[in-house]
Order: sequence, then structure tokens, then C-alpha cells
Amino acid sequence: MEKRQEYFGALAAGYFFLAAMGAMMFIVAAGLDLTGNAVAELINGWVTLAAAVVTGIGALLLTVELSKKMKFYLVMTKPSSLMGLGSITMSAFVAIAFVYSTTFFDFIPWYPAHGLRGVLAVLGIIAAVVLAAYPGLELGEARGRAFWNGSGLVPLFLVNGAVSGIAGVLLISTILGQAQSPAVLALGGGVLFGCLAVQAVLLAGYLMGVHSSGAEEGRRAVEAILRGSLSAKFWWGVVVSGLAVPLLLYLFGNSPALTVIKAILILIGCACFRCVFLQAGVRRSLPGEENEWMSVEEEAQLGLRLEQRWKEKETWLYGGNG
Amino acid sequence: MRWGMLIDLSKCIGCHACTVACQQEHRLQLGEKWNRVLRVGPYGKYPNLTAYFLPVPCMHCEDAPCVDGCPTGASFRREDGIVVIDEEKCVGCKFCMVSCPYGVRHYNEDKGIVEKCILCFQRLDNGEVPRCVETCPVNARFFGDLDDPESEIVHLIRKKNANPLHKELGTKPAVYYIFP
Ligand code: SF4
Ligand code: SF4
Repeated sequence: MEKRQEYFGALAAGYFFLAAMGAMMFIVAAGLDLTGNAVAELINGWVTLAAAVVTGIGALLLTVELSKKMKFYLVMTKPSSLMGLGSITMSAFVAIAFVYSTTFFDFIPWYPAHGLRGVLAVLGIIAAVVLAAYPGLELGEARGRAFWNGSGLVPLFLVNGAVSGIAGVLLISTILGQAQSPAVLALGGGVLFGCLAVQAVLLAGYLMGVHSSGAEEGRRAVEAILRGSLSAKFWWGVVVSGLAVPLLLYLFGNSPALTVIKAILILIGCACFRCVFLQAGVRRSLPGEENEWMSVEEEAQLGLRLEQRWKEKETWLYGGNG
Repeated sequence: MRWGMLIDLSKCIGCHACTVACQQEHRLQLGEKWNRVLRVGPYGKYPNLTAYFLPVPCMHCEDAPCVDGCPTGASFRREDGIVVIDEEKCVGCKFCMVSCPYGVRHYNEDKGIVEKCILCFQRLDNGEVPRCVETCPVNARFFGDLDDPESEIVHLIRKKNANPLHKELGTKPAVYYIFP
């Protein structure tokens, strides 16, 4: 039954992952900018451009998931639905992040446009928060899927998004040769360590909370994660790659090479986290749903018999002239 | 006016005639069912075992999560309470399939849209009853206006203490069951 319920596939998981990563990369960069950190001038152009591109790729994945791709604009016509609101916010965010990034490149005519940059930083942070938070709210709305209904889902998604966003910023800062600047060191040190630790605690608490909530589908979901079909992705991806190894790497210092390895492992872990959480949201069973047994052949035979019966009835009623 | 259905599970013999009649009425492909019939049980302790059949159409919820969640407005509730899908507006995002707690929505690969039971509104508009109600050989299905306190369906729901499936989810279904 679980297999038949997998309506959200890898593309949707990819979208949720990339959107949260892009949003959080922007929040980190704009935060550095608004607090007057000197490194912002050196990294923000590329970091926020990457945030826009990453989120844009996420939007593309979402569009690929639609069967009517040319009608993608309809998804933005009903802001009262969380998915509609998310799509509108995502489009606005990509535009804001892109224009914001241009204020850091000196070949752009309006460079450095400090006033515009400040306004866009604030607007972008607001859009990014909505973008990072809405998937948790959207899934939480699904009734009868206890695994997504926990109140801890939104904080967990936000912390996971923050972890992926910081990893993205670290990667780009290292490529730009800024891995050893004080702000980047602090980000990759205490801030990332703290976020990873909080994520580990929230994750364990969430799984235990859902498992003990009493809802049968919640228990089924946690079992699938810990011991069933999702266990490889969870243990190797989320736990080992996304949490344990990056935390262990703190024992070996903070060289740029280690930072890159840590960031890549974290991103793999965060992508697995989104896959696992989307696929685990199984529906509350209906009585007898495990026993669906009529084969297609039986169905076809029954259809023929019924058709024949109707013909007989028609002949009987109208003497074959119906 | 709110159309609704009552299914007497103590009468249903699990013949699947409603499933097939629905497939023929709506020209569905083999394997696509807008009205599944589930076999519940046998449960209990030998020799006191019980089993029954449970037909599951769309519940035409009053507080329908599929309608709230649809980002294009393709899924909507008609004035008479029937939840339908506008084929022109549906983009096949499948979010409604995730929102529906009853698993009654199906993705049509050929059309690229989501489909489900529409309570045969085209027949209702012609003064007929839904095909499944007409076809049921043991008259296990009753159909009528849930807003009319004098209707047969409302009387039966009260008299037989009928209930919807997963009432605790608060979707206020328009399909009631008399459980055996
Ligand atoms: S049963 Fe599902 S598809 Fe039908 S109205 Fe309720 S939520 Fe929507
Ligand atoms: S698949 Fe169609 S009906 Fe369902 S939510 Fe998407 S647009 Fe709406």
C-alpha cells in the first residue's frame, strides 16, 4: 500500500531541498550584509546569485513534475492555498535574490546601489523565511498523515534548511578564497555545529514523538524509516552523511579542504532528509485496504458480464429496438 | 441542498457491480477505480469471525482538503455539495492526491490530470440517480438530499445511526455507512 501512496517523488523532494537551501543561503548572506560584516562585500554577489539559481532549479523541478507544464502559471492563481502562496513567494524570491546579487558586481551600471541593496536584503529575508517555512506547513495540512502532522515539523524543516544554507555559503566562500575569514570561520564553526546538534535533537524527538502519538500511520512511517524501505536513505544519508561524519570532522580542524568535504556531506544528508520525510508521509489506512484483491482480468470479466446483462435487460424492455 | 449517499454494509455482498458500472459510465481504463470495494476482515476470534465489504467512493467532503489545497482552483465544490475537478484548470500537480485522506483520487496518465468520483452529476442533472446506486443488486446504496430533514436518506442515517469513515479527521463527508 505504501508504494501506491507515493505521490511525491524525487522531483518534489529535490524542489523542497533546493528551495530551502537557496532561501537559507540568502538569509545568511543578507544577515552578514545588514550587520555590516566586511566579508559580505566579497562573497554576497556570488552567494546570492547561487541562491537564486539553486531556487530557480528547484522551481524547474516543480514544473517538470506537472503534467501540464505550459500551464504552470495556474499554480500561482490561488494564493489562499499554501502551494499557491509558496509558488508566488518562490518566484518573488528568485527575482529579489537575483537583483540583489547584481548590486555586488562592479560591471553592473547601478553598482553598488546601497539603498536598493538594503531594501532588497530585507524583502529577500522575508520571502526566504516564507519559502523555507511553507513546505512544513503545507505537509502539516494533510489530514490523516500523522507523520507530517507533528508540531515539530516546521522547526525541523527550518533547521535542516539552515544547515543546507550554511553548507552552501561555506562551499562558495571556500571557492572564492574566503574560507579563513573570521565570519566564515565562525559560520562553519560554532554556528554550523550548533545547527547540526539542534537538528539531531529535533530529528530524534520528532521520530519518537510521532511513534508514540498513537496514530497507526505514524508508527508505520517511523518503522519504515528506522527499519523498513527508507532505512538505507535515513541511516546512511541523513544520519551518517548529514550528521555523524560532519560532526566528527570537527575533531580534525577547519582547513578549507575539510570544510568542502563537510559541506558536500551535509548537502547529501539534507537531500536525503527531504526524500525520507516526503516518502514517509503515509495515509491512515481504510478498513480492509490491505486486502484489495480483484485482478484486472477479473475486473474485465465482470465488466463483460454486466454489459451482457444490460443488453439482455434492454432487449427485454424494448424488444431489441432500444 | 447537499447530495449525499448512505451505504448499508450489512447488505453489501462485495459483488463489485458498482465498481464496474462506474468504470463503464465514465469510460475508465481497466484498473482505474473511482469506487473501490474493500474486503474487511475476517476479524474476531474463531469461530466468531466477521467480514464485510466496504465500497469507497469520493466522500464529497464539506470541508474538503483537496479543494483547499488545490493551487489552481481546479478542484472545487458545486452549490449542491459535489466536489468536482475542472479538467481545463488541472495541471496534474497531484497535491490533491496527497491532501485527500481517503485515497480516492487517481492520476490519469493519458489526460495528465487527476480524476475521481463525481457522484454522476451529469445523471443527476437529468433527474437520474448515480449509476452505482442504480446498479447495486441488493439496494445497499441510498441517495438523497442531506439538507432535507424529510428525505429517506436523512431518516435512515438517524434511524440506523450511520456514520462517515474516519469522522475524526473533520472533513464532514457526505457519504455515510451503516456498519454491520
Ligand atoms: S474524499 Fe478526498 S477527493 Fe473526495 S472530497 Fe474528500 S478530500 Fe476531496
Ligand atoms: S492535480 Fe489538478 S486538481 Fe489536483 S491539486 Fe493539482 S491542479 Fe488541483
